[in-house]
Amino acid sequence: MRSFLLKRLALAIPTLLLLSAITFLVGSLAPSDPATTILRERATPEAVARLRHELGLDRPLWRQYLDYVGHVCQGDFGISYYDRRPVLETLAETYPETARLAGYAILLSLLLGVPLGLSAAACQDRWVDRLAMGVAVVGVSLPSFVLGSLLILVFAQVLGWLPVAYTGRPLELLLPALALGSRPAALIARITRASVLEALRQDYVRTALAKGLSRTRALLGHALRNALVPILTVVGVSTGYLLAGSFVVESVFVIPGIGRLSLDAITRRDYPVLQAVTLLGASAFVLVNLLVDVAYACVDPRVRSGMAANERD
Amino acid sequence: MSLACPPRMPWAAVVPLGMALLVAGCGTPARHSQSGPGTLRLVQKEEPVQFDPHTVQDGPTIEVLMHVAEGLVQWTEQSTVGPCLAERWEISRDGRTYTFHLRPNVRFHNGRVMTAADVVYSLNRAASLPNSPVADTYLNDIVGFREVAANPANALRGVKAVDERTVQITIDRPRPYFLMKLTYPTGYVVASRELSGVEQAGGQITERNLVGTGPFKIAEYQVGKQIILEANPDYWAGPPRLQRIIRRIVGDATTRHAMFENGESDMLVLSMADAEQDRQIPDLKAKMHEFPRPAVYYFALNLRRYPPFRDRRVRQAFAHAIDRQAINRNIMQGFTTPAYGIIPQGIPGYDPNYRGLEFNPARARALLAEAGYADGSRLPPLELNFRERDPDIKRVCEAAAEMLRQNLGVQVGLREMEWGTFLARRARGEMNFYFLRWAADYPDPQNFLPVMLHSRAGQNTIGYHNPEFDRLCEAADTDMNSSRRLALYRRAERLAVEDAPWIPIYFQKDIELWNPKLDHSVRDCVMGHLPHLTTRLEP
Repeated sequence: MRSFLLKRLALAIPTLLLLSAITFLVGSLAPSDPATTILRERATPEAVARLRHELGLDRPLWRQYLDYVGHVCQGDFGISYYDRRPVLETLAETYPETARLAGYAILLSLLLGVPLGLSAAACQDRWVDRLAMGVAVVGVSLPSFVLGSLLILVFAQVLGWLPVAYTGRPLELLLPALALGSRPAALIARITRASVLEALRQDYVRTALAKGLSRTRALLGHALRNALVPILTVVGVSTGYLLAGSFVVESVFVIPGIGRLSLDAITRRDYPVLQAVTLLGASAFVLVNLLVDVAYACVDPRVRSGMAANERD
Repeated sequence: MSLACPPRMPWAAVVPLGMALLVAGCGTPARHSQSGPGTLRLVQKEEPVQFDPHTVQDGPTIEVLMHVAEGLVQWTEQSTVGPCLAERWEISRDGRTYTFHLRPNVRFHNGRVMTAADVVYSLNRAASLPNSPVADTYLNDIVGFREVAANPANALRGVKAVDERTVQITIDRPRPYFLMKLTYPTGYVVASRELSGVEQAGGQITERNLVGTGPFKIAEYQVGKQIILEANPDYWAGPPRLQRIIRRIVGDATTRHAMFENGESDMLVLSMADAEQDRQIPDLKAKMHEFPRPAVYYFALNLRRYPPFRDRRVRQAFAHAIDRQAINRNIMQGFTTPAYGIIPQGIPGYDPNYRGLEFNPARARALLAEAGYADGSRLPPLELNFRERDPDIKRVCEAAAEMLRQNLGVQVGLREMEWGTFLARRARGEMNFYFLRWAADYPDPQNFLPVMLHSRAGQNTIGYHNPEFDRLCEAADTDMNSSRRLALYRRAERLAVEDAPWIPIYFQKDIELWNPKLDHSVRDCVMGHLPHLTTRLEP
């Protein structure tokens, strides 16, 4: 298990290095001069030259890249061209909001998706199945901004239960999490149904039922457990996407997260911020996938034995 | 194999039950107020561009800064210039020297007493920022400004501290509007000792080091979220009635409107489409307030960057091809006034009967053909730039581009731009064609004509140059006879409208929704709302 983890981590390093090189190159080739952009109204030729030297912009590109990687490894993502604050400081303010929202969205999608999929599988071809899969189709096809606006209309404006704009209280993340989690929930529901039905057709379930096991226990103890691996895959991919932030949902619910930061950085050509959010998004994706692999091993003994065999080799 | 649905299978009930539990967990009383009656909750479309009063040039940021710092003089509710940090002043007989007597009890937010040295420091700092987009507009009358602009190490010869509480400002010629210019943030006084320490360390004025004397202090700025202003209990005119102002940054127009309806904001500037809808709803109509503002929305044609615009006939063709009445009727819902001149309502010299280059597609085509572009599609590629997150502006630009295509055959691309980037590119004269608003900083035609279009004006980044226009403006600027002065400005305005470096489209009207608890306690003058000193929310 340990060597498996180390191997996966080692594989992540070239991925992140390649990504950092691409984002760095895009930032370096941009037409605007960082020193002039940062100094704005104070940009005299002398001040620009001084700042270019301080930022190391007068060095060869390869050296600048090495410096950049070195700084990033120490948590220094540079200074924003727009507000002149350290990028790390901005990330520290915005990323927790996105992470919290992603966590809520994934939790909600599991709470909704798994029971929906299970009930659909348990009542295959009956009205519960059709209703559950109908809901799942709506969840997949409804864009998050439409669902977000609908949720605001019903729960904030008509019922007055929740505010429109997020003010920092965790409960206020319920509506945005629902808007964001509806698609993963629908995917989880569909994959749960398919996987559980597949498991129910296996001999070991038939044997268990023949031996007198109740249908509910067969469903939960055998079929659901075997369906967990594909569910985890969907959860992993969805979490990766959610951690990169959602501009639409963050904008509609006024959440100061990574999605909004990214879009603002694009329109302002704030390359240090863009480089940082890209790297952070990619790192989150790699990390989540690693965790999903570990989770596979926890829920599926076949994966564990496969890892052990690899280690012996 | 299919497993029969168990008789008491709970799964189908789990989903609605789970949702009900989650929602019930959030059960709070109806309608959300995030704060008590001492808090005014506002929304703004964009992040503040910066926090330096000496270089600020956009309305939303000025609205924040005017609560934090102040100048020697300020606007009153009668739209006249009144005392602020200076309790009184005298003007010399030749109209060139202003002697300001400072209030004795003014303290900065850090508790230090403000002195004449702070005023001298602030005006010098504002004048010496090398690429300031505003210094040349608002401080250029002060003696010695050109030397400082050329070399920031120089000091303004026309500004001196007579004693601890007296400041003298000398200007180059008598100018009837000079005091009005000092109300702009370039004239704001910041704490010299504290700030110069920051500056010598290479810092700039930010929300964290700005020390002013205003009725509010910046308590917190969270990027992308909000700016919180806390009341200054030691304010020289007594503490404001509000304890704090929260300005949420909300980019989405629908969310802004939903927040007002849901009781999460107390004031909202409406887009015209929303205003038209809200007018039909009695509850919202009762909360609606209309404010005609001295501001003009215009298309600017950059003569310096786009060669075809150097031909007056091309510019006039563009002006004749755009139907202002249709824009006003269909997009602005009839709320605004179509603009055929440059000087807006509320400014001396405004002429409601003037009809400049009116909509005339046939004349437009003929002019373009005369200029050698019978086929408008042969013009070099042209892009119309406008600020983002403003639905009205976007619709106007889309409509104008379509009118130019239909009436002249000119293909115009549209480019929506982040506000800070838009301002920076405009200041550098980098956009060929753009749509923007110019709002009065002071109610005088000088603030519209020479400030924007004189060939040497810092704001004229589109390369318009007409010696006769310059001459008329220069004569008017220093003429102390007001009727003769207005007549000169009017002639200059006609000339600029005919030359068409600008195509004025409409004069602004703000339609706002107010929380009824505000009870008309918001102070206002012709230029806009004044700092929230008397604003309160009835319990």
